[in-house]
Amino acid sequence: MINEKNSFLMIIKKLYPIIFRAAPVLFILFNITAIAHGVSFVIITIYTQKFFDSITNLLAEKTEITNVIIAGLLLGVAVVFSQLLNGFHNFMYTPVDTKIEGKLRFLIHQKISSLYPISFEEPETLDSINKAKNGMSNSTELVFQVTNIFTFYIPYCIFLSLYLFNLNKILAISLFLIFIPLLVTQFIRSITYSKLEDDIAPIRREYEYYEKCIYDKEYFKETRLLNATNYFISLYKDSLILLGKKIFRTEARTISFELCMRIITLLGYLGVLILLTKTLLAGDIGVGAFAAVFSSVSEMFGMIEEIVCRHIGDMSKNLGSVANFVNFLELPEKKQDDKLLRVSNGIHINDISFIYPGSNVNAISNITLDIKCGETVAIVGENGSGKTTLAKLIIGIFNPTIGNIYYDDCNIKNYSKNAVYSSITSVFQNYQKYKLSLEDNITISDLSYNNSNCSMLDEILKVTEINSLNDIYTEGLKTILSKEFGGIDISIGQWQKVAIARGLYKKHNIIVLDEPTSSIDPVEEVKTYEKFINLSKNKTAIIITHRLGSAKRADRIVVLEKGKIIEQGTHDTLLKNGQKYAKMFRAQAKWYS
Amino acid sequence: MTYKKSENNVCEIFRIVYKSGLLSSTFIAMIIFLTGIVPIIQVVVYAKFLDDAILLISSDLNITFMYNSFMLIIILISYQWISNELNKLFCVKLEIKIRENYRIKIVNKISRLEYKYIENKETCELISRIMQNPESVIKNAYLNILNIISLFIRILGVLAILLAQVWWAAVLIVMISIPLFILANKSGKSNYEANREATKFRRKHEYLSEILSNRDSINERELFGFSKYINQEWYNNYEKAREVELKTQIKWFIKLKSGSIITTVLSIIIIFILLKPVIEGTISIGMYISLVSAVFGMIQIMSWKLTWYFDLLAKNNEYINDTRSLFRLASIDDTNDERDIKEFKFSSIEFKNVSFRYPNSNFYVLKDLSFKIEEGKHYSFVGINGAGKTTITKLMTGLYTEFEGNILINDVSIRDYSKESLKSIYSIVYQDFAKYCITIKDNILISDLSNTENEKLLSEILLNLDLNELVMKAPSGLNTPLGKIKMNGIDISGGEWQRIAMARAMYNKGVVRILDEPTAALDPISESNLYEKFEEISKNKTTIFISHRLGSTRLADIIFVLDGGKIIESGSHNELMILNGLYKKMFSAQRSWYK
Repeated sequence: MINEKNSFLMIIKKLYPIIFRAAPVLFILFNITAIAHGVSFVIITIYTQKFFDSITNLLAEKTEITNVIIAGLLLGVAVVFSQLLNGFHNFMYTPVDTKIEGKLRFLIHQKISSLYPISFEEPETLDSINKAKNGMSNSTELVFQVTNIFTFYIPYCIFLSLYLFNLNKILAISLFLIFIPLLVTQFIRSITYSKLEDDIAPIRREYEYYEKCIYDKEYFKETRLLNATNYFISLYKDSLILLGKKIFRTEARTISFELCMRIITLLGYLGVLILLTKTLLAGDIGVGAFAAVFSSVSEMFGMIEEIVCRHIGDMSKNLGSVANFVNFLELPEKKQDDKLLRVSNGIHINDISFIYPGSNVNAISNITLDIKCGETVAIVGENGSGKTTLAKLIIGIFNPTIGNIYYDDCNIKNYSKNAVYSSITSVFQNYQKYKLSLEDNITISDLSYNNSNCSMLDEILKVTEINSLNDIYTEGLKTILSKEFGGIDISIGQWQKVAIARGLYKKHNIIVLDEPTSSIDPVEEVKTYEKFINLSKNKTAIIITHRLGSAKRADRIVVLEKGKIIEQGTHDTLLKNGQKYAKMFRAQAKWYS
Repeated sequence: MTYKKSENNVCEIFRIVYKSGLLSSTFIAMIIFLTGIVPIIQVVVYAKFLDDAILLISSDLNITFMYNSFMLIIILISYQWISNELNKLFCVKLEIKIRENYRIKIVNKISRLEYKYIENKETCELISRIMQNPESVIKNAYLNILNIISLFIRILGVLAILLAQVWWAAVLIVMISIPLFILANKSGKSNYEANREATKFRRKHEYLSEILSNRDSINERELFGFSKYINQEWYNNYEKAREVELKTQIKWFIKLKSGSIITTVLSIIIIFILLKPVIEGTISIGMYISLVSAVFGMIQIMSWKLTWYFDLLAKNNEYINDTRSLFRLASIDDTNDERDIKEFKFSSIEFKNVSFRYPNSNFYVLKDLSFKIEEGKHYSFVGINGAGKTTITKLMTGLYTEFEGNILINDVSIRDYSKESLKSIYSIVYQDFAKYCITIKDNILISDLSNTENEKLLSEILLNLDLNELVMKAPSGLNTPLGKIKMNGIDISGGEWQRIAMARAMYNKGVVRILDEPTAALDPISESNLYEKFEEISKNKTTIFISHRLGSTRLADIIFVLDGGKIIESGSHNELMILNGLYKKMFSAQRSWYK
């Protein structure tokens, strides 16, 4: 069930240094408080005994009233002190936890940025990021629970057993024996629960999905117009009822088993009581000790039940998710260095193929392509023909499964990602709309300039015509592009300009433009492409599009189909060839004839 | 005022719980109330046990004399343990019941909300807050209230015993408990306010965290390498939020703890005072010890549990207030009037001087818009993004009703139609059509659930849209679930989904077919095919085409050009080209690619 790598000890071993390093001073302080708190309980037990003894002695006229008062005062001080420690101990947890959580989340972000980008194509990675985030919030809890057992519960139990052992040897031993059934129950419980969780996960997924069909934005409009709400509600109800049945069956079984175990514990408890009374009768302990033990036995019962049922239960519940966090931090990382890789002659793509993880079809097969510096190359093809994938391979975001890509004479496989990215920029199809200031939105693409490169920025604002819109950007470059954060909302067309400005701001000698125009109107679209082609004159540019006409003016058009290059050449040659390109072009053109 | 409100909320929780599972919730209430009474009995039983034990030493009675006391203690303990286990079981049952009743009730309500709420951010947040495990929130809220009551029973019980022994000590305790109680109640509120203050920073850092980890921004994150910088920004914002929260937490802690220390000190004083009657012999030593233990136990509980319970109460209050505001939102009436639908014969839709702005917006998307759509013709709406094209379909189908002007269907105001009959007029293929993870057959039949037996129509549609191949290769044919929700579901391509969506629209009896920007993600050949196919299958039907691409408009009898919420040009393609206006400008721009 739990493999070697995820064993409890392994996880704890890896987790401890991480948590400790996150907040060492607070961590130590917290644990010292815990120990003191545990000790204070024992002190209270001892002082209670002394206090009760002094009263019985007083009644038997064996002692003075002042002794009773002294004992009582000592007890009172101990109780107040213990209360303070208890408060401090309980209170400290949240601040320490939040402090540590900040550091851990920082680590997660750092880790995400050093993962291979290809791993974002695998649903498991996205899953594991979510799971790691969940696991992270549980891991502080787990570490503190484990530490708490050693700093609070165990010292308390040891001190108390020593105390009990002093009074009566058999008593101390038999007390521990009766907790064994509790331990067994808990062990069985954790096994049944993990089985139940596996069992109900698909049902949960199902009902959550039906819920989405009923009211999620993505489905709501259509479900309602189709009048299908009741259809989904009845599916939803069925799966909820099935879920309830499964949960109840398991719970009923575990609880009745627990009940049986409780009866055994109960018999043990009776034995302890009788033993205790006999010890009292034999005169081995006084009435004070008898009463103190009597009340601390039930306290110890409560406490051990708390460890076994709550903490160990929580721990085994948390363990799985914490394992996700620890394992996430151990995923392979990409190489990092400060080298640069400049392209001055061109890009040489040598017989590359690429398969997405989890797929068995080549997204790119056997492509060989040379792009000379200063050339404008358009890559066209149908949806799913591999255009964007090819672009990501050229940029170096993905590595080809087979074959090599060379910048000048350097195989980019042998360089770190940073080095590969150092001479290339891109405007992506799914460009981001950062809810940051206009300036940050642009300069985020190259933070290597000190204090944002002003002249560069001005130049770009002019080229992209963003600076002519001072009436939109009321606070100039500092305008936040989001209403949510106290700024303004801008139109898609404006966003597109910002995205292009962002792409241009990064130092580059190659630029890749991946179809950023799919959602603007035709008049703007024509303008954007024209401007872009002008901008990239004498620069190496790769334009990706399925709007055939927009590629007309490129130096070379490369036509992709099913991941293969089927044609290349200028617009006129391709039209003359009368192949795929010509066919696609005519399909489009006939609506405008 | 606030007190009264929370009282109502308590009633509300009881109402929900008892409606969902009367039996289990009654049992839970009984068990928890008894849990409050047991410690009181315990004081008496322990006192007897101790007194008996002390008597046993000083006399020569046999140990059998103690058996009664042993029995009583064992009964008490076993009751506590058994009731605890039973309680767990009933809680599980109750949670299941709430899930099956209340959760479904909420979902039902949400599914019938007026459409405007679904596009409203606040409502969306409200819904997502409410739908986070409602069954366990409600169950825990119920347990919380019971626990508070039970705790008070326990406190009153111990006080009653004290009252019987030394009355003024009991009075003293009451005087201490009340301020503590008020303090605890206050802390919940101040925490909530601090939370609001920290929200500003929290929202910012949550957004930054999203940039740093979501899949959508991976390309830019990677190529532009800004993670380090943004991560530092993130940390700064996180720390700011944390510091604000910490300050209020400390204040709260000091207030709370000083209260509980005062209680402790006073309790200790009472223990001293009780010494006198012990020495005088009015209280037995057993009773004294037992009372002292009970008082110490109570201090422990009052210092943390009470506060904790009241904090929870404040939080649960928020939740119930949320559900109240959900149920206050307007929902559509769901009256079925089948008769009305069957006799309906479509002849026209007319917009007369319609102006519209989205709720909470000052911007008119449509301004004084007028046009008429007649039976059997093909229409096309074109215009740039944001010109209001999609808004028109939302008004036509009755998703939004707060417009100015008039919309007439068959010369009758749209406001006089029931939602049901409006729905039955249209069949729509949306750009973002739903990909339902149910069987192929259900994916199509779902558009007309009153008519699921029409095998002939179904097979005709499958043939028409070339879906037979898909059905053949699917393991269980038409009954194969799509998507990855069901274990045996299959994934199909985007193009296949599109055809499923078309099939769905065709199975619908709606006489007006609307195609809302279906081509944005299509390549040229598929796009061209789609137009032709759609024309073919929509002969003799009224169709409305919505697009910012112009090629498709050639199929339309009448083209409406939208700009700034108005129709600025209308007519056939040729007429508009002659008109030499915006349409011609847009068309020429696009045509320039193909020359």
